[in-house]
Amino acid sequence: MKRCLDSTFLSDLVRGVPAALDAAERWARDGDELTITSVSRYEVLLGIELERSESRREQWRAVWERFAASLPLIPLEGTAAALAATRQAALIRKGRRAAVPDLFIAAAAASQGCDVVVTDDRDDFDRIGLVKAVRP
Amino acid sequence: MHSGSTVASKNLAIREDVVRRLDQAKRPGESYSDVIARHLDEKPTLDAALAYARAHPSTGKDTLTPRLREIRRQTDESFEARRKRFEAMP
Repeated sequence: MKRCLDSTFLSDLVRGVPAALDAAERWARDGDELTITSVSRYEVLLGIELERSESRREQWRAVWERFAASLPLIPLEGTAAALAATRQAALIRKGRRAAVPDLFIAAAAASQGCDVVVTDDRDDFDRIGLVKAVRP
Repeated sequence: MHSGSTVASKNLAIREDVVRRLDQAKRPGESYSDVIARHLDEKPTLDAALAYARAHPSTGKDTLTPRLREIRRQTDESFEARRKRFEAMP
């Protein structure tokens, strides 16, 4: 299974939450492919860089660099951008506009064949409907 | 190990926070050059990242997740404001 890890789950990894680390370890052991999008890469690094505590910022940065270097990156390229635009237009017509970062992540994940997005915000991804969302 | 070799050396200016991280990464008998060379040679793996994260858990209140939600909310607001401006154009 190909899993796209959303920013909230990545936050758990960066902070060393045992349940998240256990889940990622189990998925990797089972042969799942774990990926991240460029949107999450931006969000997580920005979140770390905005941390006021210098020691915590350094600690998180050191952890994040390791995950960022080891998890394959899914960029928001042409197919994904087009997918996001057409889906957003359809949602807007129904009065159900999707949050743009969620939409970009879902479109990038769908365009690269991800089976699921691992997220705490499942409802937002379910509304978009491009890729199945699962809680960790 | 590179210590003890006769290769030419250069002085580098390294930030203090990076020096602290180099100190933490140093193994017995390693020089800073050894640590840097070792890291350049190492291919990052998920297993190594997970092990590192497990060994360096964050303590205290979770300030990162709420900040990530706020970053996402603000990014969306910015996109939406722009879309509304486009929509209002004749």
